[in-house]
Amino acid sequence: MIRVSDLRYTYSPIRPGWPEQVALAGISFDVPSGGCLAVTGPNGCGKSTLALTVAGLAPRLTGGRLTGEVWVDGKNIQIEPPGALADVLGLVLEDPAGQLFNPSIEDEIAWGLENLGIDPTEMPECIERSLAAVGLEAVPRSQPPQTLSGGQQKRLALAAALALEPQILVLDQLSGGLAPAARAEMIAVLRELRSTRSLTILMTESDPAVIAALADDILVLEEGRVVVQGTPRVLYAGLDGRHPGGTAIPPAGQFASTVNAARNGNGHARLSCLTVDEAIEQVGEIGTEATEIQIADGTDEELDNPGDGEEPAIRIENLCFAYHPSQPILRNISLAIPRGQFVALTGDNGAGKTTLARHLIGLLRPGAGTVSILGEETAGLKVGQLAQWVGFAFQNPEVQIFNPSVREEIAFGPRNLGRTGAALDEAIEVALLQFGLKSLADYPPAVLSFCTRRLVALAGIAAMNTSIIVLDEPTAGLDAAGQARVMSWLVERHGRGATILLITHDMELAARHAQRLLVLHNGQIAADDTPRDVFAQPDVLAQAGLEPPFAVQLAMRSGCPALAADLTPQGAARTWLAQGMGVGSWGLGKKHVGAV
Amino acid sequence: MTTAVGVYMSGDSWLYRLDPRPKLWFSLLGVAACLTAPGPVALIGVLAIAHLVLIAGGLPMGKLGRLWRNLAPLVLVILILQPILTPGAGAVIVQIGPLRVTQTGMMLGLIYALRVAAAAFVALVPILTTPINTLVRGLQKLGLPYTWSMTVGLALRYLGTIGELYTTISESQQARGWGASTGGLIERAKTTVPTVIALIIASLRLADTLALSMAARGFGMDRPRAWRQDIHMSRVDWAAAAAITAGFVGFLIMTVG
Repeated sequence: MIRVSDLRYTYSPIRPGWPEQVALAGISFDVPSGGCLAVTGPNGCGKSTLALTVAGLAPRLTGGRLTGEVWVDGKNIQIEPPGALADVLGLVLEDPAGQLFNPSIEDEIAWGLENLGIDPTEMPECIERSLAAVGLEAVPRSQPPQTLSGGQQKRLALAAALALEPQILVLDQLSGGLAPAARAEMIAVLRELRSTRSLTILMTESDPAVIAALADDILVLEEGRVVVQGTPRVLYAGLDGRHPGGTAIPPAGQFASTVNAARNGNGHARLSCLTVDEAIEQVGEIGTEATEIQIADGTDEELDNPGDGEEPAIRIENLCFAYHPSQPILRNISLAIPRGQFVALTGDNGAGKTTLARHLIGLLRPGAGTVSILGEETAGLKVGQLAQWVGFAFQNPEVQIFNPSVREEIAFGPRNLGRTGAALDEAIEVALLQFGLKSLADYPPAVLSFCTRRLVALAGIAAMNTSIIVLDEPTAGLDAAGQARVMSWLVERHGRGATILLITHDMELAARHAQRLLVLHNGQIAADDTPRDVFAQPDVLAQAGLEPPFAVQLAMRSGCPALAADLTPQGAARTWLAQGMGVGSWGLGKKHVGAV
Repeated sequence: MTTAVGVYMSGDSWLYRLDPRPKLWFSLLGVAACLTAPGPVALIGVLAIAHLVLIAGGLPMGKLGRLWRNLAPLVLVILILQPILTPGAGAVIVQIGPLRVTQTGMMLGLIYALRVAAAAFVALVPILTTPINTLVRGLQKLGLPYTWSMTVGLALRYLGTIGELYTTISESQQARGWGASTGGLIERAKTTVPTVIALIIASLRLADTLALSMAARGFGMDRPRAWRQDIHMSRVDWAAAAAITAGFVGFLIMTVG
């Protein structure tokens, strides 16, 4: 259905005299009818260029130069007129704000049908069918799209594409920016679509959970070249020793690949699990306790309590806030975060996480109660004054970029705080190195990839060198390397005494790094303890649409608390191997799914 | 409950049900009235009619208040600067060094400020009360090519989004220690530069995404376009258009003739 042959794509140089930018350097692949290929790889590897090329929009609307051949449903997209693929191929992009522009849900879906000249009497049925396909049948048809949640907006964008009854779907980073619950809904919708319609799907995706759940094959790109191609099961579980480049691996895959690597093919059957369910199936029902076990084993460190006369970094007392009096967002929140603590803050959409964080930099003032930073009440301080102590990054920090070079962009924050001369230069150099931006220091940041722009924005916060760092979902949408850089910076700053408040939905990340996990629900603190103790309360996490990390789920469901010893998939794998559980005591479970 | 989509506020009243063409006709003649009005009384009359239409058409008073708050800085700047920059002849009211404010200058400032406010409100009547796609269809039926009509519709649709983006970016810059200047007008204008440049970059990205997603859904295809819900001029619409025309003629007779 899709055939790409020796595709090369270059963009013009950023500045005269600079080299051309190579986005795709000669790639070839086929996607058979009804197949699903996931294209993944580090940010900037050429995924989106590939998606737009297959959709027939690049280079027409994007600029650049293309050689090679792209055939879609028997049509050579380079010689077809614009729009020729509209009723064959549906495209859904990452950003819903740029795709949903009509005043109501039904208008949004009808808009594409109107462009194709579909008989208006047929449109209501098309609209209903499309909404049902994405699970939005219960939403009022007259509701404006922008009032939907992020996950619903993406499903509406998908419905608008499906209304044209395409045979092919191109999904560009569909799961980007979605909370886990919304991502799970999207996966369910796409799985259902694959089972009920004969759709061919090409998805560019960074989220390994989405790839593992949907794709038949993975194509890993790096600098515009195919570096690995295979099935998710083989690549993620490391069954043939290959690793999918600089991309993330689902926790179950990390568990399997750690086990497989340790066994090194010495006669044991190999694990090939991609989900907790599969891991349980392959590991077997083990242990004597059934499901309700206590993973908080008492050896975990206690939370530091503020005391001994030192003011905590952040103190919040009886904080209440509402944008509209009838809709309180924060309800009587009190907490103290001691200096030097690494706190993860999580919760469902609308729980009040971002609203709480905005109080810490003074962008919002308490409706009631107080917020103090290092002993100073924020009510009397300007945002600029608080910025001396609090480095704050919004959900999409890359929108703040405006300087002509990466170096200048990073210098903006520290310069505003009064840093000059050698101190400023040193702060910039450290940030450039820390975020891997040294070679791009003179590039205009606006033309860089999404991931690099986000790293530039975070490097700008890093260079401010504040004693408190508050970040709102900084790793969302970043590739594995980008996530590693951000977390390495935070770990390093934490090691030097900084207080970290990290808003995240990623429980694996919280498990690895946080000393304390706060769960907000409905504007109140639903849990506040060590991550291990919070993970032992799955009901609290479920309220927030979250699940405990893989190791905890495996430990709980297999009845073996030891597997959650360090809360990581690798730790679970090492424990399993060290205790001789691979063969004999636990066996390999009921089924050796991936024996190779 | 009303919901804002760009500048449009959802609602259900005679004004919302009116075909977009009489409303666009009202705006066109209203702006013409503003340009021909000889003095402040006539302009206050136009402003009052626009308000009466919007209030009778069910637009929430809170929305009107917000519009005035948004418009107030521009009106104030005209009111203050016009008498100073173009004092004209006539009795001097205040003189500080070379700067003088005359009665004529004050009157001109008032007229220009009222003209801008009145023109803005009559122009907003169709925009505030017509869904974008209906407005686009209205413009197209008045002879504007579809791509142009859609461009106008999208510009109006994304005004709100761009406004939100401006706020987000401005807050991001503040969080990096960029404070509002307490200096003069030029100093204050300089503080918006980081926000405005970032806004332009972010808006261009948004426009890129929009163009791609529209093209993928068949925008610009060489096929006749269909309309799920087409618009038709009813007797009420024709009567409204006639009343608007008669009102404009009456206005001209009273003010010019």
